[in-house]
Amino acid sequence: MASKGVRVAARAIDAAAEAVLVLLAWWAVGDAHKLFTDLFLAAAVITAYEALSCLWLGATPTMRLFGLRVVELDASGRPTGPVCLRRGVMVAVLTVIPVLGWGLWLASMLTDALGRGFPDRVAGSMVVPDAFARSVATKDLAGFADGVRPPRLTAWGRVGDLDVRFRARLRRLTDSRLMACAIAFLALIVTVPPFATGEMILISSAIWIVVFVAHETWLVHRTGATPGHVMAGLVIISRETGAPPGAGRSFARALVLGLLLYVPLLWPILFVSMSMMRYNDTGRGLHDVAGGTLVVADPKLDPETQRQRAMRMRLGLAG
Amino acid sequence: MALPLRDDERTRRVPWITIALIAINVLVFLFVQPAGFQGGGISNRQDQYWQAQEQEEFAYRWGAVSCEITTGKTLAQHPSGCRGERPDSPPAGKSISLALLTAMFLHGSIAHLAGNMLYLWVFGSAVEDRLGRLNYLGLYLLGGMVATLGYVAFNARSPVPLIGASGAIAVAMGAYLVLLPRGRILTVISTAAFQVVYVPAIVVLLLFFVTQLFTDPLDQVATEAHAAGMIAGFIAALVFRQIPAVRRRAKTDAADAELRAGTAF
Repeated sequence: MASKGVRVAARAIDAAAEAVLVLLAWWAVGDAHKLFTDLFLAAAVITAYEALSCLWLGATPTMRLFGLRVVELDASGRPTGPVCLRRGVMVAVLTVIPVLGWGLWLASMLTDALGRGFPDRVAGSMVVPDAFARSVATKDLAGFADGVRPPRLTAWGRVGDLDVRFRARLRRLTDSRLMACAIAFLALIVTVPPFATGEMILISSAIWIVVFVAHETWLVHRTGATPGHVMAGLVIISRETGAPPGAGRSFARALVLGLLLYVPLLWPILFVSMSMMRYNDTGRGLHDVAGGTLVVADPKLDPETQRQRAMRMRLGLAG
Repeated sequence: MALPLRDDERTRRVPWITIALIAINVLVFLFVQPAGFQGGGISNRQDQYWQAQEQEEFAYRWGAVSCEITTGKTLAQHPSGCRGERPDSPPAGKSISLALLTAMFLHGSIAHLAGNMLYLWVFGSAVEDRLGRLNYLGLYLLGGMVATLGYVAFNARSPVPLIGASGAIAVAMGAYLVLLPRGRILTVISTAAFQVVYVPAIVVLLLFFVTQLFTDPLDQVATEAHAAGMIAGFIAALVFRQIPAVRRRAKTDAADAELRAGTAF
């Protein structure tokens, strides 16, 4: 895989070159009174630089100089126009948003085992060293990732990865129309003038947390999984018994999770919990500690099926 | 408040018309509309005054003004049917019928533009895929005008200019309800602790429709245009659904969905 340090250095040099081009564009056609027009011009210039160099050279000039190139997944040769354009647009959008955008690019690239940051994930591409001669297939990504970052194992099986669990959480209510209607009702009630107050929004949020905790407790205790976990081939089990946790522990887990996810004041603690899930040996966040649980690969599935399910979830293809 | 992010319906073709409509709206806002619509970036009070004048003149020239449409006369011709505050110097030589079209491509602020384009992308691309490009373009443009006329029907004497693509986008939303009733929308619900969930499209769209009935009139939102647009889109899609090509596409999509559901992965 491409060295992440080299990629950061290449990006810094490319960003400097792009900054010069953007200043020239502003000087030529910019308007000091139109902030968003100037931002758009900057994004257009960066997109053109990234997309055209990807199309003609296979990567930006600096990346080529440092021995890196962009490959399109499931294809050979240089990336095609649509892939280069999508990648260029994402790089441009993240570049024109100071601090937050740069942070998102850096964090997404550094935390991914294969260094596939947001631009590569959106475009369906990957950055590899020149020496890497073969093409990259989507179905092989899971194997490559395991090669770079060995999977974490427990007595009950392989630990679920953070990004897969995050996406599984998003899919959680996919098939629960009753829950969707409940939150829709909560959203509606605070738009009716007599109820459109800050207090009502707080109350509706509190009601939502109660509904969430009850539903999550029921699902985890009864089945040891949410619909999203099933799609990702994951199960939630008691660390001691390997079976779905009891009602009390499921409730404790759901309560901690509900509060961390839906009370913005607690989001710094959520960040700590996510770091624990990402970096400790068992992948347990604070809610897992409260529930005495582990989230692991479903032992009823064969390992390759589970790995492919997790990869489909990671790529947003589950469903 | 519910903010859609994307739907989970698979599309078969690149939604070029939707992309083109978004590009036109964005380019018009950035390069054609005066700087005042972007907040200006001016501290000098006199310059701010001139910028506001320029902004007002632009909105009256290219926006749809209800009482101009109902009387057939521009504000510069001093129609008798207008009630409310009018501009000091309304633009002369304005085309009222052209303004019905141009108003659909103008926006009052970057937030207005961003919200509308997000809705257009989520719902428009799916409807374009199901209807076909030309049908969709016709639905968008004609439906947008019908939505504006719906607003005019409830505000016949208003001299306030109406701008924004939301009426036309509401048409696409109404059509989505008929064409893809089982679609699911990834939605952020800010009033339910920022929950991000896949909500059935029917819930999101009915929620949007109902909230139009409760919006505060002081919010300066053309709720009548949204409601009229959704109804127009709903009815038009019932008609479009009878076209053989559209029926074939619906059948193929249903077969695809069944195939995917049966895929053991």
